Amino acid sequence: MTNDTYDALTLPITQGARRTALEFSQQQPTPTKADRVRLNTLAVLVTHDYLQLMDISTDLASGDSWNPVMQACSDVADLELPGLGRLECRPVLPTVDRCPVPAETWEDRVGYVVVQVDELAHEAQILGFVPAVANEELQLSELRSPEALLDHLYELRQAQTVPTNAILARAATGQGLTNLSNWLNTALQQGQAAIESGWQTVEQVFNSGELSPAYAFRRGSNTVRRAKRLSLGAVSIALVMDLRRDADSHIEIRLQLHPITTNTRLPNGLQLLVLDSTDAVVIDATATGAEDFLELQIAGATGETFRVEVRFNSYLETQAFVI
Amino acid sequence: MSDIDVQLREWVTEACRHPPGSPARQRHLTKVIRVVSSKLWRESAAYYQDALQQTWVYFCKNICNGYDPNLGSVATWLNAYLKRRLQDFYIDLQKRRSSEVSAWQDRDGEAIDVIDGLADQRGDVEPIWEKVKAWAEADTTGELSRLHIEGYPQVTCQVLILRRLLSETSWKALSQEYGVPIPTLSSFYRRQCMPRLRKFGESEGYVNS
Repeated sequence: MTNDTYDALTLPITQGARRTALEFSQQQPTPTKADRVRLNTLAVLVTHDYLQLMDISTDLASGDSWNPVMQACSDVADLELPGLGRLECRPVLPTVDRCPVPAETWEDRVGYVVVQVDELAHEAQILGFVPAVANEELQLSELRSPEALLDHLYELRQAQTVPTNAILARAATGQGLTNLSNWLNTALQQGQAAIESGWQTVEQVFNSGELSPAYAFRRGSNTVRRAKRLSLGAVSIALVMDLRRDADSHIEIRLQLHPITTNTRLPNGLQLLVLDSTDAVVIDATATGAEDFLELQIAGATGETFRVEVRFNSYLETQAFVI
Repeated sequence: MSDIDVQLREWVTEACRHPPGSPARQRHLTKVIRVVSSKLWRESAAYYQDALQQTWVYFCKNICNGYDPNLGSVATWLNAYLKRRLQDFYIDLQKRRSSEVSAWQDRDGEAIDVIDGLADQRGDVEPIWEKVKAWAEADTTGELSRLHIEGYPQVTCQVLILRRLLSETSWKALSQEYGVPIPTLSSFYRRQCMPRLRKFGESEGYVNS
């Protein structure tokens, strides 16, 4: 049925792609695993060839799909798009209507492309793409067109360029960085009422005034908790930060994203990321539509800088901090 | 001119109104590729897909300055290019075949079993998955068996790496066995196990650039 999908884009599988795929698969001891690796490799290469045509740069060799250890230990078909992130290129055989999406690829992806591989014809079809996945199977009927992938990647690039530059410019002058040590000291000395501008107490941010009890924070006397309302398009989210002084100069930071309205779920594809001073992702989490909150924990020493990003579709909210 | 040709010409014009790499250009080039691909010359040679890929590269690079719509449709233009590439590949192959034959004949006319030679070469090297298995089982630093999912001391990095090796055990089966939701398992695997696997890969000389 997928053969005549209107939006599908038929592309060649070159001899070079076939050779590489075979080479990778020959490292695998079982036929099932060898098939998997061969198809993953073909899906990545066809997507790579297509993006090259579109003048979108890729870095094949830096993906897990190109790492022999990761080929053996995971089922990944990732393609690094420098400056954007990893695009997962999932292969399917002709005549199926669903695409398996292994759990190890659920996070840290800018999107999922589904490539139908016809090894007899040496031909592949880019069936379409989705920006995020919710579980281990993707219905092919949910796919958006290959053109939607192009728009998605463009929007990601736009969303990233502007704020990153703005942050860098502000960080260079020492402005725009929220100082967490000061934040913690002030709150502990002057009471919880002392609040850094732009931030609020949890009670002020949430409609109901309270987080659902199951996910309320564990709090100690040396803990400060602050929240901020973020708008990502039509979606309103609360970023909640929990700070705790750990050792002399260390601060433990717990970051959570909650829906503004209690008893609702975070939208599928919402991402929470922590980036270091070089803009490398330290840790991240993505909502699949099933969670009512996301949480990341980090710790750092005085003087360290980091950035928190919240992404949803093409929207990006970013906050820079110094510990 | 057919309706399709008119449509294709419009898409080409639209694509060329925008700079390379812009989404409008990419979208219109994609539309053209989708429709034209069914109108291109086909044959079953092993190198056909290579010639076709070169044709698409040529198309994307030259459509805005190398194509004259007055001389024919996009499909005609691309078919001419494709056939030239196919001819190049054919000539190349003939040359290589004749040089291979003479190389074989040098060895007293006896055929060399190329496949056997390859198999022997591969047999000398320990497969990567065996190295990973040995490394994870040995766990010389004790780190892999120490790191575990919070609240589930039996679900360690070591256990997950060995069970997920060659995708032998599904996430679903692991989730049922340990009573841990799949997202918790896979997230732990991704954050704690995969970086250590990559590091092991590096120590074995597999460097991701």
